Amino acid sequence: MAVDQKLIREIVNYLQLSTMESKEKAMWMLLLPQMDEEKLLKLKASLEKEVNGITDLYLQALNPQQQNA
Amino acid sequence: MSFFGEVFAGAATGGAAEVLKKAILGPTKKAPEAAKPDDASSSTGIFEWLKQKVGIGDKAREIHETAKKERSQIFGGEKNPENGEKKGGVWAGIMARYYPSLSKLGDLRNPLESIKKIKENPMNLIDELDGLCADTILIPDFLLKFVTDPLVETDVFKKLVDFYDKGFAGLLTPNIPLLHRIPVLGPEKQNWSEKIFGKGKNYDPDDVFSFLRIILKDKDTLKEVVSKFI
Repeated sequence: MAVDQKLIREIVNYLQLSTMESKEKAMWMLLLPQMDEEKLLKLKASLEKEVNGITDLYLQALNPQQQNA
Repeated sequence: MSFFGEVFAGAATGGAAEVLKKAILGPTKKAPEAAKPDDASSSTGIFEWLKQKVGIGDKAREIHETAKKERSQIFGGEKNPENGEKKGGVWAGIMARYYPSLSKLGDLRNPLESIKKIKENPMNLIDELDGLCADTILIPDFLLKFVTDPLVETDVFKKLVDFYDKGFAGLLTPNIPLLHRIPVLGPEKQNWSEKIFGKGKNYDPDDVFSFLRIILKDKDTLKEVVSKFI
């Protein structure tokens, strides 16, 4: 694979954490080897933003619960 | 062979493709987790869970929808807001590489030459249409428009739909020799022109694939139509 394997590995990890449906995850897994670096970086940025956003919400929601505990 | 067909064929020889195939098709029948329903893992289930447990379902849904829109732009390409120029997405690359005849249908640089090549070897186009119909199994519904738009916007596809729609009316066309008049499709005959082109950009991609699957049932006739009447 000519593209940086580290980039692919990061995307694969984010794919597992994303809220997309399993069919779409399967599609992206198959498309990753065909994508150029520019599109891989865009995909990674989008997935990272999504995963971080969901995680931030979770942590925000967790804080009041921790205070009440 | 279709794009996804080639990937899975490669899995037979092992290597990275085998790993991908296992990752995508999931665990073997021995793994009990495969049969276990998991509401929280579905995209709808997790928002409901977040809404019920921590009251943040709406914000989570907004994040999900924004990400979905960004991914559609990566898949299908996007327009440059400054000059209106469309930049090809991931699917454009797949089309150019695995569906060269289909890509040529929309070739504006040398349309006559492209059509001539397709008419000389109609089976290339027919095999690619077959592969495309198979590949759509792995493409989510919200991305199907990016797959069908490059086909629906071409003159060749419009002529195909028009030709098959005419059915028996085509028998009255004087310039078609009697031997080449195509019979009506029977119970499958529907007004495809109205369904696909009557709604402008709001057509249903499933109608396009339904039409393709019907005409691909008789490849000999389709070969005649492509080589003589497109």
